[in-house]
Amino acid sequence: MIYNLLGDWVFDFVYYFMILLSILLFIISIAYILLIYKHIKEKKWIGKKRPYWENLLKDYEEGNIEKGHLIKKLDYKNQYFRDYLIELARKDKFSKDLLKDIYIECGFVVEDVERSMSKKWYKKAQTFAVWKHLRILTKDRYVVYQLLSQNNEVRLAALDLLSIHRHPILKKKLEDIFDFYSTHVDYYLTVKLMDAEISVEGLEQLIWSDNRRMKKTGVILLGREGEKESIDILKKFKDEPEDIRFEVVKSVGRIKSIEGLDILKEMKRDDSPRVRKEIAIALGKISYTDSLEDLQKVSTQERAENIISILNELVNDENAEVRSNAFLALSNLGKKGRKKIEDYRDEYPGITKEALLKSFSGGVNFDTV
Amino acid sequence: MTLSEILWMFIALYSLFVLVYFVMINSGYLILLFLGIDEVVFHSRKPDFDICDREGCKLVPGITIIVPAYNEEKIISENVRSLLDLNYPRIEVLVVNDGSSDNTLEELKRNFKLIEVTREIDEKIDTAPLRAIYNSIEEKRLTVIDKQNGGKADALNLGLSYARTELVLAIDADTLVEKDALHKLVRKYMRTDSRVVALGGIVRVLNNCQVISSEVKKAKLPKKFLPAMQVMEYIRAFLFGRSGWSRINSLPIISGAFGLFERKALMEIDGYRTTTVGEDIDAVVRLHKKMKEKKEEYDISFLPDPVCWTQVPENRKTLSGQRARWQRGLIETLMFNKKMIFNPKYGKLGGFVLPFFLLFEMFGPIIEMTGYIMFIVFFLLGIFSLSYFLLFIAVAVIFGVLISLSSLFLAELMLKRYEDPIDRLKLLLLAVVENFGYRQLHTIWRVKGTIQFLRKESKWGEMDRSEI
Repeated sequence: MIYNLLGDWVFDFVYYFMILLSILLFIISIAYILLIYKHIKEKKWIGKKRPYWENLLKDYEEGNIEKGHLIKKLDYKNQYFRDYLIELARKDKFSKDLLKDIYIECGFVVEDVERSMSKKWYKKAQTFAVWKHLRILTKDRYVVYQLLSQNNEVRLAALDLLSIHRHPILKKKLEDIFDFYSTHVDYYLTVKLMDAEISVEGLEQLIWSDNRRMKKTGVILLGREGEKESIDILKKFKDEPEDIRFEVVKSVGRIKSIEGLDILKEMKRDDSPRVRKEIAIALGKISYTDSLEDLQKVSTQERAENIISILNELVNDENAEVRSNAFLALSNLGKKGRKKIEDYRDEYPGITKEALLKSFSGGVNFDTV
Repeated sequence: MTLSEILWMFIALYSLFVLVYFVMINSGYLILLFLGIDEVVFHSRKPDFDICDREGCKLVPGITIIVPAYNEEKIISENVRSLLDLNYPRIEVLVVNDGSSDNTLEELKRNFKLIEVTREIDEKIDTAPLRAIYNSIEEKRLTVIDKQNGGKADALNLGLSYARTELVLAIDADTLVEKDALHKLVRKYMRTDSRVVALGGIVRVLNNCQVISSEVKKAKLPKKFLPAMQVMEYIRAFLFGRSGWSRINSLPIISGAFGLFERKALMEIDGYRTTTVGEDIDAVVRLHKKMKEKKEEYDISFLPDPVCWTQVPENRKTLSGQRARWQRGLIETLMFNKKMIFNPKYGKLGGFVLPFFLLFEMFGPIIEMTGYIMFIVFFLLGIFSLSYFLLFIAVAVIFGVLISLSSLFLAELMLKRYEDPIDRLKLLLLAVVENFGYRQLHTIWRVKGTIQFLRKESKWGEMDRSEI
């Protein structure tokens, strides 16, 4: 019917199109079968080689063989051994130093450097990722230059690599990074800068910046566990806008030091319920320990009283979320905390019951969620 | 014009329509195939990084995993354990018991020592009434919410209201999420140069796989024909379909079994729509709509490697019910969001993707079905052209196999999940076999879904669950 209407050429066209498709189909089928065959062969070969490599590495680690001897015995001139080393580094199966040493000895880094100079973004980014896993950093200046690459993947890979090495250049480049990176990757940027463990002095250009985004990030980065010297700086931000105050309190919570109590006490009547809720959580973090003995060690009874005195106000807060977190924070304070919770059993039966039960089962770890 | 002339005219026009439709649909699929390949290759080139290494892990966004559960007593405890065991520093598992009539809640109470608690929230989406909230004494990251039955979307909405984290992961109770899947999703969320509001990962078939300690240790092709066929379908749907749409940032579907969302974005659209069985596709389409209307740069993507595993129907009745429901959900979504279709205001989604779904996914089964009927009519009228028929069928089959095979090739190249070479060759065979019988059955099920939509049926259907 249809070719009566349109003429024979349609039929011919569809016919030849079908032949073309069939050829294509045949090629893909063969490619698929060959790929399966290749993977099976690879798997078999790797299955044999990996235990051999692992034993050699173990021998070397235990000092049974020397490096020269190891390199000679390793059949390393192939992609599979390189991949195996990277996999081992990711799994922390051998010491990173040992793996890095062998990786360099086998000459893979020389190949990597060439790859990293490629114009292809993925070759650069993949190389930086490998170096990160093996804790290798070579051609520093080139990697630093890539921090401001036009390609998002490359610059984040460079950041990742420099961050794992806690590279000192990062603190000098902070302003450039914030100028160049989009606000959408702020989350990642903050995580990586936190991983880089930049010193408090190194963060000065961020925290005293007029740029709100930089200032906020600086305040977040001050909140590293045990970094007590940050607390004095954080105090200076307690009158900043709400989003900064919120981060100040969160940072105090992350530092988990009893020295942070003063600032939390000063801020407990903050206008923002979000900030007050975070104060309760911060107090919960400061008071959370895995055992009551630890609690005795880190905080004297007087200090526990101090925490309770702040929470005492928060359990009466007009905002239910603030109250609820304050009760949960009390559950981290042992007997004294429980006594305080019990005072409110009639007024808030639900949350006090939960807080008491949690107190008996070791308290609430506010870090997990 | 005589009746006979009118009939001839109709037949001629119908034949022309079918030919044009056929060329259009296959061209569309061809474009999608190229886009899908490009996306998968692009994604595979991205380096594999841990999202955090030291103190930074305390700053990663928290994720609430919302598990709507209705009569899941057989699998719920095992699945909750596997979720709590995921490799991610900040998670909360929030099980929403949607008025189960079996012992789902009792199982959870028994296995996780639940205590009744209260939880205050800022804003709540309207849902069926809440009965109680429980926390686990043993596992602080587990919360169970018990509510009256209101359907999956309703349960998700309650979970969404009570979630406290920036991100929520919506999954099915029978979904087994791979250990590092959250890392992979969050890596994309944190590293993308625009606001990411939703991300989907690949869903694979769990039936017959070897599972040890809630982890798929060995992926095996199901022995039964129907689930094995669904393996092929899932690979094709995810690697070719979703990757393709994702390439042009117009992904209209993120599977209800495994999707990560920015909580704020979902709250902005008032959560999931409870009046459709296609709440997953509808939510994603509305997220696109919201973001386009706000004129904000955004990203809704599919990632081909964060994997989750799910049980698929093993019998024809359950499978037909599921496929009819999916079709109904699709039509409902298109109807609810009809203003977006052919509307340039909504960019590629309105101008190309939704019209594609309307013309080829919604009307496709009906047109295919009429095609089969018309061949019979032509045969009875004595105007049946065997050569035209054979050529038409051959092109359709070859095209179908080509798309399936390309997806298989991509899966073999990138995912390498099935270890047994026999399984991989069987998949090749299934790519051919599905065109003879299974494809036609599938068309019938989807037509059934269309009829259900027209009859305004709202039933969900049943899903068989077996222990993992």
